[in-house]
Amino acid sequence: MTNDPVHKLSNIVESARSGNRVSMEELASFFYNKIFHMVYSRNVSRMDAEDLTQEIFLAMSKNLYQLKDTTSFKAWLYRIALNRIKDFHRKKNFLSLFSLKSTEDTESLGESHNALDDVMGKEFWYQFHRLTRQMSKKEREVFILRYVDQLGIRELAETLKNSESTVKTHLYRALKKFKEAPGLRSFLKGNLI
Amino acid sequence: MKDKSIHLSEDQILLSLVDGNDLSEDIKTHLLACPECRRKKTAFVLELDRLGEKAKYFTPDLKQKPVLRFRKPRDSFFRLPVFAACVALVLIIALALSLVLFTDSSKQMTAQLSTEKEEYLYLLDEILEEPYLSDHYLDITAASNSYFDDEFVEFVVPLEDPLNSV
Repeated sequence: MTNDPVHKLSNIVESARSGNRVSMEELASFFYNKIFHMVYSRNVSRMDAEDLTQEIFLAMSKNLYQLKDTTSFKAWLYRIALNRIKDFHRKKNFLSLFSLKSTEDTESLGESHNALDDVMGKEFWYQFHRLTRQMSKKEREVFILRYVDQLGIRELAETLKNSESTVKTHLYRALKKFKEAPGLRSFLKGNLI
Repeated sequence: MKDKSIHLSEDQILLSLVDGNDLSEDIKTHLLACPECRRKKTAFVLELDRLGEKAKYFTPDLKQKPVLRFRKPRDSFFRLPVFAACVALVLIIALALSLVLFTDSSKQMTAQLSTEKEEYLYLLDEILEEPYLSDHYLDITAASNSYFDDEFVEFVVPLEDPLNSV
């Protein structure tokens, strides 16, 4: 048995796929927070993000037996998450046409953060979404998956079902837009506006 | 990039961030040797790392625990979608019915053919056994008019008397 993390993950996935409850829980505990962060960073409110994350893991546990290549589990899981997020935004936009649901999210960040953190957090996400709104859909997806969700180029290509060169092109264009985003960059450098 | 006083452009630094392996050998060499370009690149990398850290930091804590659905893997037959399984079932039933119906109709046809064959054989026997053809065939050949004797024909179409005609 090798210590290679990809190989280790693949073994856990294989075991979970054959119905091992412990392996399934191990997978969930490893990815649950990551997926929640992923969902939340796509302009989804905390409550909705929790529900969506739950849905994503239900879908994962329900359809895991369909996964043929266990080494591509991460990309597969992120793809499920991206599709769910897309569906969520589509539904939200549709409902907002009839004003059935407010598109504003005014909730606080959580109990562990103090008031200053709340303000800083709101400023960060405001600047972040302002930047990502300037990007095309593909650029935005590639940029967030690469620098927020910390996926590698190969994982990105696998998740988005694109070639690596296409992913690199989108990433390059997104980085150019990031370079020209003074608000977010000065926030990251520690100079609050 | 022989001249070390010429630094990498912003675009080249961005390209090096996307994937350092895609750069030309000249640019790679320059990046290794030039502290100014390396500093620019490192500053950009740090900013992007901080972006990831801040995004994580400013994401609220997750309160829920995942609820999972456990299911035992089933045989490939049961993985077929319900619709496909239903279609297959309907096709199988249709095939079975058509086989049954086809078998019945072919039996009926065979029986009918054999009856017709027997009738024709019987007719043929009749014809061969009787010295004279039946009335039906005699009608066709006009041979059945044999009962009109000469006397009757003469009555219908009298012959001219040669003595009177003179």
